[in-house]
Amino acid sequence: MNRLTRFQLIRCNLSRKPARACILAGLVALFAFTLFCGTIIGQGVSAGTRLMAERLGADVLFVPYGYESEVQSSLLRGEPSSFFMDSAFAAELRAEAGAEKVTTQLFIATLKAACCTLPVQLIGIDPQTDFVVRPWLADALRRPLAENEVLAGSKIVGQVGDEIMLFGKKLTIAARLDPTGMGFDTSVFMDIGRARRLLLLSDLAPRLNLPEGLDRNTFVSSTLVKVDPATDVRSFANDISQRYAIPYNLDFVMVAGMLSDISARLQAFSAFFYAFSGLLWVLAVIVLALVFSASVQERKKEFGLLRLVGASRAALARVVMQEALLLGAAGALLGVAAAGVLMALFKTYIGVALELPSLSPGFASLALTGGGVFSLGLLAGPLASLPAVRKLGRIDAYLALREEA
Amino acid sequence: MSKNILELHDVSMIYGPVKALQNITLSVQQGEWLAIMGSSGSGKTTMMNIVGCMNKATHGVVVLDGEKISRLNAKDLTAIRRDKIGLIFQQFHLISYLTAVENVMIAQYYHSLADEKEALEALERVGLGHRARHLPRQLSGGEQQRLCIARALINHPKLILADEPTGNLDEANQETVMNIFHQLHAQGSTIIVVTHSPEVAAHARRVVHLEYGRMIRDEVNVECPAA
Repeated sequence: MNRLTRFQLIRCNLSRKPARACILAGLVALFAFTLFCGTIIGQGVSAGTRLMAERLGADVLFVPYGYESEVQSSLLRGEPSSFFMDSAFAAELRAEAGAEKVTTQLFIATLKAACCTLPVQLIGIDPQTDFVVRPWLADALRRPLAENEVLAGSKIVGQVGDEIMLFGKKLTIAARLDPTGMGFDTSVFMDIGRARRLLLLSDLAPRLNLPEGLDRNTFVSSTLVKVDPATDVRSFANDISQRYAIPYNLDFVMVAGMLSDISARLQAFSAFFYAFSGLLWVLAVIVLALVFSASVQERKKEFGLLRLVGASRAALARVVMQEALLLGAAGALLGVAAAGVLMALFKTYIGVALELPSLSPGFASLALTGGGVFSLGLLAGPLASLPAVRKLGRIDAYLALREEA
Repeated sequence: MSKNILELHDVSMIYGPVKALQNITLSVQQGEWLAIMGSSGSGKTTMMNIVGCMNKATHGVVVLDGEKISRLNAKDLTAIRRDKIGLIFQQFHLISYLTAVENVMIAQYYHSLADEKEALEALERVGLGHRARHLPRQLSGGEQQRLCIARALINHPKLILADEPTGNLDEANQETVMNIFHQLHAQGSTIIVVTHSPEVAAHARRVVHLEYGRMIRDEVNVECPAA
């Protein structure tokens, strides 16, 4: 037995003007899409930045002059690059006041590797001085790396114990890193001496343009420094740079500065998204309000009749509000779903295109953001219907029918 | 003797300087068929609004089915209209996006519970069973008016109030509608028809004439047998 319900009435009315219903829902969907994407991107960057700061552990990175952006690209987005400097600088730096910890790393971009479809970043670490990866090793791998062992980033294919081919050599994965959402995820870590030897013996060596006079047995790519807490990091970096820049042809990158650059970009990015989303929300509410108001005027006869057959003003207000709620819900659901699918499918591309280091929010974050955005979208409908409901209350049922007659 | 379903005691409706209705006193018995006649501006629509709980008289007392309705608020008037009155309009006023049966069910929905079986039976009674799934635009004028009647009857009203029910119909459909009214009258329904047409008024047992807001004549149509 068919029982007429309010939902049926609403559905019938909406399907009477499908184009209008689609445009209204689409407007809410656009708002939900923008807000959801903006929030997820903002959260992703924020989480990635925090993770990077924790994992890096260094305050200043000294690199060959002109390679500041390469080291940032490599650390943030895993873009492989190779650059070299003299390790003697690290030895001199250790003697400097304020340098609490100093270590060196070797960055080598492989052309291809059996583990991956794209070139990977090989990072040689100094087990004697390393303070960047060692804290992690101490927890997960309670022994030094063997000659043929590597640590694999979270996106490197292979399990612990599996072998991967690098520079024509079989290397065993001794441990894996947790996902960082940054360049570490697509990097392979190994002993710096072993990495250096592998490089020099490989086909890649002639193409690397190692600087003249660089000691083939000790060269590195960067020197990472943890500054004494009592020392101002910037003053320390400036002082070292002034004295060592020319003899070692180097420059430096402040990790805090690098992170604050990201933070500033994140803030600007988030502000833009939130402002744009807010504007869309207000626009959606205004347009919905205008359309619903016009719709009540257009349906005056219908509402007048419903009043005459016994519908109370409150009952008619519920019809209008639920119609708006349904449109808001449909739009918000569509927007959140479309944004979710888009983010899942193109997160890597979006991250690269927007030069963002991370775009991998957890399920809880996705659910919370989705829920919040959906609620806001949902709210737009009933809020927009308030003027229409007010107008509805002023309709004189019998006069409305006679006006139209 | 039948009880009065409707009583108007010295009812007036005054809008500023306009006296739309003046000192009307009238009783309608249960099962009676009454026609209210008058030309445009005579006050018949104002009277229908008051009797149909769509407006309140500025003076006087209105009693419907034993309940004094002249001082009720809008919410209570809506309830009275929903529970006790079946309205039939000249322009039909059907909801364009609902089928015939749904147009009947909408009155049930706001009254109690929409029941398709009962709505279909109401359509059968007015000869529209085969048109139940059609939209109003797919029905002829006569069929639309019969649908309007089915909607008015669905909640078993104490009083059927019809405003120019044949005003938009051709002669054949006018006859069909009046036949339905005769059947309803024979079954004991109380009917008040507001009309300017002497042909329509001639079907009623009693005719009240209005002019400039005053009741000028209240006569019994002796040619029309009592129910």
